[in-house]
Amino acid sequence: MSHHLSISEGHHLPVAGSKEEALYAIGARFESSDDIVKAAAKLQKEGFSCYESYTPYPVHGLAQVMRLPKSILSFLVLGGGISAILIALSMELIPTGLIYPLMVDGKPTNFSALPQFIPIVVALTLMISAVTAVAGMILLGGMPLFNNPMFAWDLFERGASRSFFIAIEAHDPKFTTASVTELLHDLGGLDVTAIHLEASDKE
Amino acid sequence: MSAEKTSLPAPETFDYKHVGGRFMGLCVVAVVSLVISLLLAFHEPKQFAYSWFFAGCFFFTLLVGSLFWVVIHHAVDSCWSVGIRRQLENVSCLLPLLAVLLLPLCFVAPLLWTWMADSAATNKELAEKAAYLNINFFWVRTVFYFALFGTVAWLLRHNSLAQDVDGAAIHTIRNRRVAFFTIPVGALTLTFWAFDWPMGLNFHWNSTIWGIYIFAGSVIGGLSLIILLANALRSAGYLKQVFTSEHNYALGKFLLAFTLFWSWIAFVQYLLIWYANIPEEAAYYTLRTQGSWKILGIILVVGHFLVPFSLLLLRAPKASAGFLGLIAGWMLAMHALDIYIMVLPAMHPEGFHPAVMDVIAIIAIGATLAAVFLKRLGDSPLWPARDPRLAEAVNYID
Repeated sequence: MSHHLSISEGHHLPVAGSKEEALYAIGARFESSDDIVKAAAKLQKEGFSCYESYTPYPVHGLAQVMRLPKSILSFLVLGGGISAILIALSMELIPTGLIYPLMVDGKPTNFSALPQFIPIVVALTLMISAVTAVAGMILLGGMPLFNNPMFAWDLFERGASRSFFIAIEAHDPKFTTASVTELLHDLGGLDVTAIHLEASDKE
Repeated sequence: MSAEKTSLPAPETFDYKHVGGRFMGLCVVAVVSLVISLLLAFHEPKQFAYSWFFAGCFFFTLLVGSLFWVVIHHAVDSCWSVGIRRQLENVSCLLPLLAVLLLPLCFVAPLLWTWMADSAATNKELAEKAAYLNINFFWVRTVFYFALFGTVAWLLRHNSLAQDVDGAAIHTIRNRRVAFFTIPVGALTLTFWAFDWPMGLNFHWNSTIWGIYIFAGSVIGGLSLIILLANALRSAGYLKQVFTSEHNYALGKFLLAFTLFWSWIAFVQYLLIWYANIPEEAAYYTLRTQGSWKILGIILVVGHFLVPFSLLLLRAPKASAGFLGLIAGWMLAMHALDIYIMVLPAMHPEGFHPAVMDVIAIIAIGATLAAVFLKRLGDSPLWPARDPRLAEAVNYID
């Protein structure tokens, strides 16, 4: 694809969403996970910071080339687990050790009878850690989100389960329509499209 | 993926220049310690019996643990472990040699398994169990344990070597069938071995989870051994292409998982016996939670669970060979302590009683096995050179 052609295509950029509304991003479709990893690596090298990759499944190496920071999720889960241990132990030891000692088989009721308290501790730790992990994953991932501006792009909505997309957002400091369009073409992006926000429903 | 390297790494064979004179040194250590063991055996037969049995159980679980990883590799058709599989095969094929090294136990068996010296005519409890617990049947079973594991280990390695020559996929399929057979049969065999050998030290005692407990320890032992072996070979300049930090990371994750598995099984066994409080069952833990044995028990809980668990939770260090090697060495020591606490309190109920023979036995059996392992190491390529999944193993990303 010649330099001239990609510039001229930039002038006839297909548009999704409502032209009157603000430009949200310029998106491109890629056919394989390898292509999108290469494209993301190039964008990172060019200094773009506000772009997003959309893939139908987790792609190995994509997070690395995009230099995504380590998620804080593991610390949240650790915090959840530790608080679960404390909750479980106090729920067991305060009633059976202090308030109403429950004597079974002459076994001690205090801390020296630790084995009998462990199964509850383990179960509660597992449960709260797992809930923290799932809830944290959803919340840190930006969910729940009622609409993503990308849905204005018909092709994205139809192809999100089998194609790979990159969208460079308009608020990126290096964003100009012409240069981004050309870059996405050069990276082998298909169906490069300007995605505008949708006109809000006026009833 | 199109980015995959399509050319397979050229097979490597071990070059003895890396061991050189150390191999002879190892042989000398093995022979000397075997001779010392023989002398001590006549001097203190009972201590010899327990020490030799301790070392035997330790190495048996390591070899069976290694065999487990080969079996599970074939059963689930995994790709990541192709590069290290040959070493697991080599290790598990030492089982027949271990059987020979454990022959002295035949002569001291009644000192070890005290029920053999007891008579079913006078001991009512033994009479109840005599249908299973009699000397002839015991030895038949023992031969079966070693024969089964030895044959499976030999078959898996034999097919794997045959594939190095012709590259035919049929060998992989044959090995898969062997693996499918071994999973149920091997699980039962290891369980009965655990009942007969370590649990048989006190025939009054029983624990139904014992087989799984031994299995969990064996798997950790085999895993730690292959981590050390693979990283040792890598630092000597081999396996560079088939064994990377990605594979180390996978091994580290498995080590974390099986540390948790062992801990849970060990705890469940303790909890049920502690809670039920039946004298016959509780005797095992009563003995091991008193006096100096209690200290060793606490070291086991901390060292076999808390330390590796907290260290292996960290993500980055698991991919580092140095860190993982350190943990693997530590886990081998803890596995030895685990076996030690199973075996030696039966001989010294009064408390921890260190004996030279314990160390000599580990050195004697360990050095002999290591020498034979090294001797055979150069006979075959260091990884299954024409395994159908080798390309995937090379490109494996965790």
